[in-house]
Amino acid sequence: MDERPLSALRPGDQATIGRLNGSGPVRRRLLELGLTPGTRVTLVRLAPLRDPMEIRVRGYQLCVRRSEADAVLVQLDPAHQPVGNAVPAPALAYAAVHGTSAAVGAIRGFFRQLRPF
Amino acid sequence: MTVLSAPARSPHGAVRRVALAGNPNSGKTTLFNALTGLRQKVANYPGVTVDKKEGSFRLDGREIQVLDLPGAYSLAARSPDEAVARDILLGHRADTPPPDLVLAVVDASNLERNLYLALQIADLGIPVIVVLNMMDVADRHGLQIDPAALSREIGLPVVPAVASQSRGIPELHRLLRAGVPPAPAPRRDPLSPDAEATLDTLAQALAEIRGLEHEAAQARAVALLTVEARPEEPALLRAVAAARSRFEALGIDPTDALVEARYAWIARVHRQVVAAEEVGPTLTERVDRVVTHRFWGLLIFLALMALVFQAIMSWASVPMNGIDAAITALKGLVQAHMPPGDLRDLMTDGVISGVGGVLVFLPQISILFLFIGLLEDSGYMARAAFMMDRVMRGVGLHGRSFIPLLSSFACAIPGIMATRTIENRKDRLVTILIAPLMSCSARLPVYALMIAAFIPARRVWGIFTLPALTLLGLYVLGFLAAMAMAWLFKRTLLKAETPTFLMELPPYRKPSARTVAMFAWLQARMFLQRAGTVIMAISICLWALTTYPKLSPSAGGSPDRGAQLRHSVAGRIGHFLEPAIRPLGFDWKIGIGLIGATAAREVFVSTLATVYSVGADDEDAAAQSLRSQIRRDVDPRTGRKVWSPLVGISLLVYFVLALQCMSTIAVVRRETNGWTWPLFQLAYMTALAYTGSFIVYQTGRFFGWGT
Repeated sequence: MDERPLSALRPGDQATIGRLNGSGPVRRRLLELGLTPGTRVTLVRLAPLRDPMEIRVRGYQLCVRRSEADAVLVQLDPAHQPVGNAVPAPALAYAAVHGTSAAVGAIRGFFRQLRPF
Repeated sequence: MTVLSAPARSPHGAVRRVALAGNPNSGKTTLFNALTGLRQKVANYPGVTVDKKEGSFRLDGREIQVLDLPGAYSLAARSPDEAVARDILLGHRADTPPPDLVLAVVDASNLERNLYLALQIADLGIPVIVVLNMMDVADRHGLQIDPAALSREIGLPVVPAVASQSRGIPELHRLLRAGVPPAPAPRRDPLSPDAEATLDTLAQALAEIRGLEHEAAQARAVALLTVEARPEEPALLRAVAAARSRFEALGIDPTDALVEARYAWIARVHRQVVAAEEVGPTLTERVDRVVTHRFWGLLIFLALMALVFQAIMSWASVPMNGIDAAITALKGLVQAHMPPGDLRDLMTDGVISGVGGVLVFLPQISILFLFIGLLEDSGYMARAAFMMDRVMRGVGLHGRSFIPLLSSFACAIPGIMATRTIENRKDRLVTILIAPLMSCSARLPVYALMIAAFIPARRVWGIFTLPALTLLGLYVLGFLAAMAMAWLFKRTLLKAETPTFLMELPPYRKPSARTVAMFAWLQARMFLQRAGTVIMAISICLWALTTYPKLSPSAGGSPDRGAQLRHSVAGRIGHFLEPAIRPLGFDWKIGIGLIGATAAREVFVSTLATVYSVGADDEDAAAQSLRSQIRRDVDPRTGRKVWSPLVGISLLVYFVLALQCMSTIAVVRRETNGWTWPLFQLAYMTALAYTGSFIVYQTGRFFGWGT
């Protein structure tokens, strides 16, 4: 499947971390902050000057510079639910299988489509 | 004796020393304040510019010491703050023994990442009580956490709390009364069988060398690899090296693997213990959409900065005038009650002026730190750094440098003190070095005098006046010079990689009045204590320089102050300096003014007034006549005017670029723990100012401006 760097995501995109490139203290710190392989991340927004990026991971918001995000390879989630579906039922079922953060992300995704970014 | 080598603690020993540990923004400091109230003090850890916050409280008549450790995301330290936390917990700091137990403050709305540190501390074998703080925030986010279930899963006592409302404190006291709890080894997901075998070998070595039980040894092995601390025992060093090469042969990075294993386990616990409700976008999320918006966000930011700026300039003026009045009254009192003579003059013009010179900054510093505290506590500061990071990165700095630099437009002293939030030492130094280039409020009297005397009040481009544009130009010049020097420093002297910018954006919260007030108060007090002593010393020196040697009194009574000034050491230095400053267009009178200004920039105006023997009690009247005196002053030797618009501009440029504030030097000395950097700063800024003035004046002369 296709891997792409975290820095290539667009606001609202959700992805799962595949692996972290590079070596050294930054990589270690990213892991310690919870960006481990298999973790779900969401790109919330970009700064007004397009850099840094704000991502949501493990229930909190983290800023990373694009250059730091380059080293994090992720797999983009497939497209979200179409507009018009009632929110709660599919989202809660999703939560039962995939856990809390995914459900919150799905709900956000729904609202995102209603409100242009 | 380090903690890693300490024998297993006997449970139920009495608690005497407690340390608070946790992520930044977890409410650690709020809890510290709630526990200790005013019984706290801030000192310095020797050798590093990290605050040491200690306090105490009484429990059943016994005093319990509390140490507020610096916030950390992990004990594998990446900043001086984290290094101090790690060293204390490992028992590596001679000045601070390790605590009996650690209160791991965990942000309930952000449980997984916070648990990582808590469990890492438990790996060390130190008893941990988890304070599950910010339960109110978790509630608002729709998170239902079962503290009892959490406690069962992680094997540590858990106390739910809302420190900002002092909820959970009685429960905490109850636990502390029960004594030091046992310290079980935290769990994690297993690694591959080969990796586990290697880890086990290391654990066995630990068990032998340090006499630990199996479980404890396993935890300590994990700690050794994830905290990356060097053990003391040579046999252990060998064991670790052997384990590492074995891991390498397996193609595994043990630290990475262990971090991932711990998080995998934490994630499972999280799923079992936390139930999430759908709540839609939080308030934080909705506010952020506006506040970090491309257009509105920047606008709001500028408006906020303007407000802070305005507050510092205008709100501070009332208390500043009050302090001034008090100083003057005190001087009057001394004057009335002491016999005339040198001692009295030393008291009034040396000591009281010196102390007054320090005290007068207090309102500005307090207001600035109040705002910084408010912005920081509410969570806005992180957004500001987020938005400004790209701009700062252009010169090799960090988003966090922006607020200190902006504060320096009001006064560099609190700005420099605010650089403590910058983790990287070199970036912090660069920010400190360029901060005084941001035109501070003390330069305004000089700007005002020169502009009023020499810049014609003409209208330009419709709504702007030439004086206003000049003023703006001066500020812009300072800013550009600062950016240029930052770029230069980052390229040469303080070359470092552009720092990483991993930073959390915490949820917004209502700032706690107590936390903010205490923060502002502590910063102000530190300033008074340390900067005050140096400033007073320099004031006395300057007083001596302008008083001695004394003119013998003329027949008519006490000598003219101007004449005395010209006769003193300072006056002689002024004359001596004249050839050096002639190329800038300055004469010896300005030279004396510059010497006086070394103390504080505003002093330039009053020193000039004295030189021109303009004696008046009313400052405004003095300025008026000083202005006309300046315009009329003629050099007796050449018959030409001393001052001209070109000289005025040259002087303005000098003031934009020069470091003329002993308070700043004193604070830089304190913040950098030495004289090297303040003296370097003085040297480079003086050189910069000289060059700038030189270029301006000589270019002007070349084009035939000036007399």
